[in-house]
This record gives sequence, C-alpha cells and structure tokens, in this order.
Amino acid sequence: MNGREHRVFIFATSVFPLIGVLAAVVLLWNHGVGMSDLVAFAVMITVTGLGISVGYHRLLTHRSFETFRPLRVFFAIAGAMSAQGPPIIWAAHHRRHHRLADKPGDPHSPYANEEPGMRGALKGLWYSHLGWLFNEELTSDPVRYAPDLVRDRDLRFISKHFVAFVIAGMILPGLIGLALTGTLLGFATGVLWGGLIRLFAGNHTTYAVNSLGHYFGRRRFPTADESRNVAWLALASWGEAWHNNHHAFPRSASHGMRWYEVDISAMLIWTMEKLGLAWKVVRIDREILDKRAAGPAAGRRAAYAPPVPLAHRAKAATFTATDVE
Amino acid sequence: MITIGEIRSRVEAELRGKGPSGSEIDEGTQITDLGLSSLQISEIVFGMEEDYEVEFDAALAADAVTLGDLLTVANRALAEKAGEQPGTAAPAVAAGDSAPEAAGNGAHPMQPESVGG
Repeated sequence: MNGREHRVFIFATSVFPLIGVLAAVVLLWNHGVGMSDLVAFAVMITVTGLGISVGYHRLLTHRSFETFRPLRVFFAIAGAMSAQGPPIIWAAHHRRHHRLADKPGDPHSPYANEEPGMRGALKGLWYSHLGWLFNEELTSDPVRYAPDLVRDRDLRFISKHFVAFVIAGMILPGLIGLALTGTLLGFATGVLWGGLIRLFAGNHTTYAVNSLGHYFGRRRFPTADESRNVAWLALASWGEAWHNNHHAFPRSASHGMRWYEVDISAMLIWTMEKLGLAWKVVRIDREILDKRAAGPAAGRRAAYAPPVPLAHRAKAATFTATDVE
Repeated sequence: MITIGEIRSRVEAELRGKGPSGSEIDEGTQITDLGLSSLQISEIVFGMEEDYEVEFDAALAADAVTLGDLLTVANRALAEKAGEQPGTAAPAVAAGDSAPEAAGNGAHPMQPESVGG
C-alpha cells in the first residue's frame, strides 16, 4: 500500500467499526445480542489479540522466542486479521519506536511536537493513539529496520496481501455465526460482532498501549522514555500494557515481571514451550530486574544512545536481553 | 552480474503500469521517485537476494538512494559469492559507534526520520 491507499485503509478501519458499534447499540436496544455473536466476538478477539501480542510483537518484532514455521505463519496471519497493518510494516514501526522512544523520530510518541497545556496533551495523546497512522510522510524503512522479516518469503506474502487477510478476518466470524445459527442473519451479526466490533475493541486496546502507556501509570524501571505500566489495561491487552517493563526489557517474552502482573501472552508462550512448540524463550533474571529498577531517574529527556538498526549490525552479532529489537 | 535492465523489469513488475515508463528508469533514478511503497522496494531488493541466492549487506541496501546504488550492492554480494571467501561475508559496518540517528536525520530521501506533521 502506498501513502494514499494506506490512509484510506486506516480511515475505513477507523470509521466502519465505529458505525458497527453504533449499529450494535441500536440492535442491543431493541433485540439484545445472541450467544452466537458473543462466541464470534470471543473467538476473534482472542485470535487477533494474541496474533498481535504473541505474533507480531513478541515473535516477529522482538524475537522473544522461536517456533515452527507453520505456527509462525499462523500467528502472522492472526495478527494481520486485526487490521493494524502488514506484519513487516508493523514491526519496522515498532522497532523504530523502541529505538527512539519519546524522542524525535519515534513514530507514535504522545510527546511528538509537544505543545503546552491540556489541549497540547490531548493532541499528543490523540497523535500517539491513532493520529500517527494518518501521517502520510511517516515510513519506517523495512529494509533498514526489519531485514530479517523481509527475508522471510511468507511474511512478504502476508504483507503484500494484507487486505485479503483483513477481509478473511471479517468473513470468518460470519461463518461462526452461520454455523451456530444456520441463518444469514446469524452470519451478518457474526460479522458485526466478531468483525467490526472486535476490530474496534482490539485496535483501540493496542492503540491505548501506545497513548496511555506513555502517559498514565507506574514506572518501575527508569527507562529513557515515558513508558508506563497500565495495570487496568493488562488483561484486555493480553499483557501488553506492562509497557514500562517492556521498554526496560524489550526482548523479554514476558511483559509481566511479577507473579501478580498477569500476562496472558507470556502464559501462552510458556505453554507452547512446555509442549515443545516454542524454544529460545527470552527470560530476564530477577537479579537483573532489581538492578535495573534501582537505576538513576530517567525519562524522555535522559541522555540515551539508541542501538543501531538491525540492518547495520554485523551478521555474527549476539543479542542481549536488553536489545531493543 | 545483475544489470539495470533486470532491476528495471523488477520495478515495472511492481509498478504494474503505474509510475515512470521504462525508458525513464536508469542508474541515476532515485528509488523514492519511482512511486513504490516501502513494501514494494523490499520485494525488489529481497526478491533479487532470493533469486540469486546471496545475502546483501542490508545496511548498504537501506542506504541506497538511486537504482545504481542498489545495483552496486547487489553485484557486490554476487562478487563475494563468486569469490567464496569464508568468514569475510559480513563486511564491517562503520555505523556502530557513531550516532546513526543524528547522521541520518531527515537527510536521507529513503529514510525520513522526522515525523513531520
């Protein structure tokens, strides 16, 4: 997708689900919601949510674990169905976000073009939430930031035919509705709940990690950015909202760093590891966690030397747990 | 040896009739002027890698401004493969110690770092 097509796509995926939510409110008002709709919603929000969190984010972008090729492809497709962009583009943006978090060049910082006052703050939050996706000039070159992913033929295919996977993600919940009710109305409300409303709920959860996750919440680790742990969002975001933990240890397979920091994505990765479906799972020792937490106060104005993009690293380079990518 | 003709046909395959016509595409053409998306550029670069079974220096490929630059990167990888010098496949990249972001900030047409807006 080039700039214009991309903008149209983002506009469509922002407006149509919103209309879907309004339609659902009207339907709820009059008739209520069927069990098949809830099943379609639950299945799709789980598949696409984990597709983003476990697939796009931890497996592809940060290489927190490795798995078999069919599973890798499955997670990439599940992520694509969430309509947040082709996997290669998503990963390139996100790697750049870590490199330059809350500094000039960060694709989606709420502090980009910072303006004073409440209005400026809201503007920044809006930009980091959704506004950045409408920025035509914004690109994160995949050749530079994600050469490992662009070399993967399957990921190139999924990225190229991304819109087809998004549409499949709309039809699939319809089929669930059709199977459970046997009616075309069931198909239609399945698309509504498992497609549009799921897309609305899922994407705004992810976007909230980008906006609220750099604004409101606790900072356990003094990272050179404004990342926060947003506890109330942790469950709905499949663990992604432990965002300060994540910025402190980007490659960690778990974003929850304590037993009480629930991280469903990490639980899935551990389960896969136990079953022999995942290996090279990146873990951080408690000792390293404590040492990092005790570091000097930081924030987005702290001095910081960003790690080089992946393309600039020598092939034999070894990665450590604190590498951003 | 990869020629500009081959790169031209790959560009045209991606553009599918849109963008500048074949005669206008030569070594001096800037990649950003072709109207290709970043994914399409990746497809051209890494499609060649796959077809020739070589691995480009990704940093140099990302830094390429013109199609001629890209050609140089590709043929360098091919020459290395022909030379078969084990252990020297990865040329040292000088970007490690400098502040790469400051150096590349907004100056590179293929890699606009400023968010703008």
